[in-house]
Amino acid sequence: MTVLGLDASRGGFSAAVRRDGRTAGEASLPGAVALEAGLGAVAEAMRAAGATAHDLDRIAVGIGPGSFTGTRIAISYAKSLAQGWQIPLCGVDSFDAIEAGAPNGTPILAVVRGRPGIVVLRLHAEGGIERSSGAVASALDALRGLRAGALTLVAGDAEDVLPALGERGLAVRVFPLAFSSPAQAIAQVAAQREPARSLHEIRADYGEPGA
Amino acid sequence: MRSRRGGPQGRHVGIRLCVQRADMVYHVRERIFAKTMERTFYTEAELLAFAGEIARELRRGDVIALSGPLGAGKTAFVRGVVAERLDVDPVSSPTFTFWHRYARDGRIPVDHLDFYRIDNPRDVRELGLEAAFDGDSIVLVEWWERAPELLPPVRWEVDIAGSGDQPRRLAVRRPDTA
Repeated sequence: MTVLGLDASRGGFSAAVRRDGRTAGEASLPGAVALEAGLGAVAEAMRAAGATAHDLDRIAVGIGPGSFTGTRIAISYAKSLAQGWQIPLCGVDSFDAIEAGAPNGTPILAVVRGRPGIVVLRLHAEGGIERSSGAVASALDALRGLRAGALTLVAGDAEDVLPALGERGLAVRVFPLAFSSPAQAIAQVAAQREPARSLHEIRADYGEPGA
Repeated sequence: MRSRRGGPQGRHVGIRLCVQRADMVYHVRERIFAKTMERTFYTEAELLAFAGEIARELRRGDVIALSGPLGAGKTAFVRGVVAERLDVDPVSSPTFTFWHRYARDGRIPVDHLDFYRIDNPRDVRELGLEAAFDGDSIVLVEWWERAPELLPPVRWEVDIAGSGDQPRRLAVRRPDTA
């Protein structure tokens, strides 16, 4: 299974080719200017992996939440490539990418930075999955599954929520992301999923209700 | 800053090679080679530099137990170690986080634990924090006195005295210094 992953939802633009569970080629560009050079990063990742469009089994794209503009641009690139190359496309949200390779156990709190002062949270607990967004305090308060007495695994933009978690008396374990770029994580997650039946199914997830 | 006298590692290579069982190595190292050294620092930069110096000697599985009052510089010491080992500047809030792992491709991860909020040592086990001591990483523990039995008997102990504008007096008990 060879997957090309693209992501611009979590800062900069990253592209990666994962082949049978290993990263074969990768390119990351930092900053907003990276968005315009994103296709160059795709070409570089493909070149580093020695891959052509014919080698790809699917394309994976980060659908957010995260950067509004970045997410839309990456999805546009990914849809164009998928249509042009006739390759199935798979959308992966930022939370699944953050959780990829996480230590075993729940609850897991994945944190994504949204607009300034806004976080988008997903809590994956025994009782199920909850999401919230907003200013840190209100977003945390909205998660009913967050409770003291358990060790909450936290990943993503964890620094944004750590003091507030401490104030709530929660025991926290912060773990680093298992992949060095979002594109790698997205490609890894997509390798274990069914791709979308239609390109129209892939939509940006802006993380905030009504957005 | 003065450099430490002598290089301790070379002298003990033979012992480590001779004694195969890890627990025996620990036993020997603890009984014979534990020694305390003391340093005084007048700035945080000096303390960070010293932490970096210690960091260069740490190996996978090493545990550093940090003690000292609030504001003494325990977290600064951790920052110095993490910066030296992983070339990153951790920004996590002290006394709020129980367990923070810092990692970077190909390097030994560093686990930072803080037991400040531990009221009962039993909490530590219930939370599964002992998994941090599996020997896979370098572990630094703040407020370790709140659950001392969780730490391996062989460990570095760093006690920091002083707070506010006072100079900091560090007492380092190292497990492998002759």
